[in-house]
Amino acid sequence: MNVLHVNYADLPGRRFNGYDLLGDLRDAGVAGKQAVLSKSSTNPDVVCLCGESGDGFLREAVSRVENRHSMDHLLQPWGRVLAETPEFQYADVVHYHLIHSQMLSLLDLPTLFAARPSVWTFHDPWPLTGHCVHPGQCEGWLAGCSPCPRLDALFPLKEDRADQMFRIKQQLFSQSDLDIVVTSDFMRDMVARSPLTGGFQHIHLIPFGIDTGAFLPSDEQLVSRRALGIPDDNYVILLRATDSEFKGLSYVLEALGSNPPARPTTLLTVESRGLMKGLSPGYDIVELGWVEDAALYARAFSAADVLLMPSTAESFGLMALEAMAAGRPVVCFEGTAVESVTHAPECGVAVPMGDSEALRVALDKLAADPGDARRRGHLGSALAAGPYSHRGYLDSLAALYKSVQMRAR
Amino acid sequence: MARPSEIDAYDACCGFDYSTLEGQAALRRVTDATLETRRVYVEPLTRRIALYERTLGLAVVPVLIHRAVIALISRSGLGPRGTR
Repeated sequence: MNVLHVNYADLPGRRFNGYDLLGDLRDAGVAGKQAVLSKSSTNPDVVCLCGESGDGFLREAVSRVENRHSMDHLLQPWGRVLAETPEFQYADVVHYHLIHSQMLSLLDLPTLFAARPSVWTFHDPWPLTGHCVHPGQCEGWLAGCSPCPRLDALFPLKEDRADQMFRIKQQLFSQSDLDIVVTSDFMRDMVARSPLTGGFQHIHLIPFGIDTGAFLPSDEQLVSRRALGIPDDNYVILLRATDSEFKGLSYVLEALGSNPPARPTTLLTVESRGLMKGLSPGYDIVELGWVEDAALYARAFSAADVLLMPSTAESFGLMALEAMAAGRPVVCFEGTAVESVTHAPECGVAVPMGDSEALRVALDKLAADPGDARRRGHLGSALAAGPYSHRGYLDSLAALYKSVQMRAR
Repeated sequence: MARPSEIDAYDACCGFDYSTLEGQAALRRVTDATLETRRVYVEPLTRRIALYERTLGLAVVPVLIHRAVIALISRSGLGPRGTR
């Protein structure tokens, strides 16, 4: 069976955007290709829709016009380019992933969905809103996005046309027959409540899987700390340092800066450097920057005592699952997918959204009670090896592709 | 020839509903033109920009006609008189 994965890029987000599936599903008899706008790999199975000289200019120009006229994914021509590729025409199933980011025009979707049996993973709530990617506490997406209170959110609109975009999605979805995949209970609930997706008959909950073998056993913690230059006896909080509006950096700074830690504590960060400067007198700070090396990434989880992940919006939260696979407890906010993915309160610790004081209390409790932290870590490992196993994820996808193909015959 | 600035002016005073069938048909024509621009790749860059702007203008031809009619009516004295 030939499956074409469609995503805006190949390597960024490769664990969930279809790229890793190209090889991972081969054993299940699924031959994969990927169509992208931005190709970073040299993989011959990845086709770039926007690879001609001059296409970059065209893409930018179209985006500028869309932005100027407050449109959201209505003029991008790449869907029509996609339809003309042999990879699309020979695909038994086309699996769409992140198709915003200036990739496909909404107006082309019904034609694409009608041309080949289609699966679309809703990686975030953008398909359900008038323009934003994460509505957060706003419930306008339940009633047409009119008026939109957050025009400046990702894919900003100069004029409030969110209601028009919402109506366009409503019209297009009503003409489309495809299978929707969601990866968390949180997203399944949103899809069930959305007035846009009421007509879809085939909605599947397939959580991302994780290869627990990629993470180090608990007795490696000391070795990992020494490798990263972290004192043996420190309490180690792992977190993603980024100023992305959804990752909750301000809550981290508030929670940790409110008063000094009860015991020597290391903040071990991945992604951006320099964002923790304000906490440096009271905390030992180790910044790994953007980590590409899988072994170093595993070392970071191994060295940590807890993952602090106060995202204000997540549709899954893969990093939380990685911490679970490494046997580390996760502290997060209620009201995002991380809460259900970590099975809080039994395994993860979820505190009220935006309550940085509660984050601090949760961290201090785990630091003071290593037995509870260990219990949560063991439960996380068991969940990662069971319901979130990589094998189970691949088997579910392969079965879905087969059923979609059979139904189309 | 219609230019994006004219779309701006129209958007500012009247708005344009892209969710109507007419609006969507206009947008599809813009995408047709975008792909045509892509096909005519050998032309110099500036010429391609100009072609893109002109073809984008096609989406608002009905709007421009509407504005022209209003202007004609105003000048003919049939419409409301302006004040100095």
